[in-house]
Amino acid sequence: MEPSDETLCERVAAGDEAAFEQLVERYQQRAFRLAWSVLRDPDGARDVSQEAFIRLWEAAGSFAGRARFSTWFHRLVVNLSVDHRRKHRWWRQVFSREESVDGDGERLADQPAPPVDPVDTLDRERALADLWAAAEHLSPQQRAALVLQVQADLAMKDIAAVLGCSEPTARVHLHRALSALRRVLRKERA
Amino acid sequence: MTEPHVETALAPYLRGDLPADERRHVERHLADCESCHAAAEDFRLIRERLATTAPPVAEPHWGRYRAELRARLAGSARRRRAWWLRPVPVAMAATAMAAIVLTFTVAQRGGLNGDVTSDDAVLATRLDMIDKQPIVERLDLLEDLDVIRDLDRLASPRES
Repeated sequence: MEPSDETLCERVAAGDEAAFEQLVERYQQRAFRLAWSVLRDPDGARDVSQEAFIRLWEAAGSFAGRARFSTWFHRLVVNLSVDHRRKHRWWRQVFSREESVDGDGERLADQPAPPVDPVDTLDRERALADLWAAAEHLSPQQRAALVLQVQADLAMKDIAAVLGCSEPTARVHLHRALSALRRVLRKERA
Repeated sequence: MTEPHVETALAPYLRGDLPADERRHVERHLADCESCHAAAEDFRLIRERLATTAPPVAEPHWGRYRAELRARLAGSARRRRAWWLRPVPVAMAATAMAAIVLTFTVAQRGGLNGDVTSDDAVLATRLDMIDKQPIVERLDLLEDLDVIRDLDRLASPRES
């Protein structure tokens, strides 16, 4: 039987490198995707997610076990991602395209509909790509809430804990994310 | 319909996160509200699609990712271990430690205590106490009232 995340974390706190490797393998993809959901930058996501693992190695002992390990670790990733965004904001403001602020996804609604190929309208790959493309225009909180629910399969209270907000606020983030993506779905059907 | 919609409860409802009473409330609402029912169906579809696909980001080669992580960890550990081994901090720390030890030693041996001892010697000479050493040696007897009363007699053998 595979050891639980919490057990592995205890071993990491005792300096067990094999346990650390196991946790890295379990969480590398989720950590990367979560960091990407906040940063939208693969290099930054790699950097931040690796930094989260370094913090895990150095501070596994501070995991008190009050929450699940996944919540604790995802929160670490989100915090580091937010710090990373803050540090690189000036750079992004100068060189990167604008992104929507936390809101109702108006900018998404303003976008032209994806080009429609009459032969290939219902192509699944294309539909998925459109959904993810739309997700790129969500606010970081909305995107993180979405990734945490649909990819990391976290419960609402855990998403709230990871994002550092109340559960009702987390629900609103997720609802707005899904509503924005729903518009893409409706355009696809139209 | 006057009942408020349950939009923000739909995502936790679809994942099964709602407590029983709220879940029943949402289910009752969905049975009556076409708008929320349609939204729930769309949300379900979106969740299914996104759960089964990766985000459109080039994910790293995970073996290389872990190798980079190991290298970063080693570098981080080296930095942490080494900061106090660098020449300047070592020299500064050694100097500070030597200064502390020196100050402490001087204070213990030649500092205040030494001065007091020297002063005591001068004072003792001036008061002619050295000449009356037997009495000085027995000064602790002054705590005894009987001895104090017979103090004159204590000194008399030497005088005689």
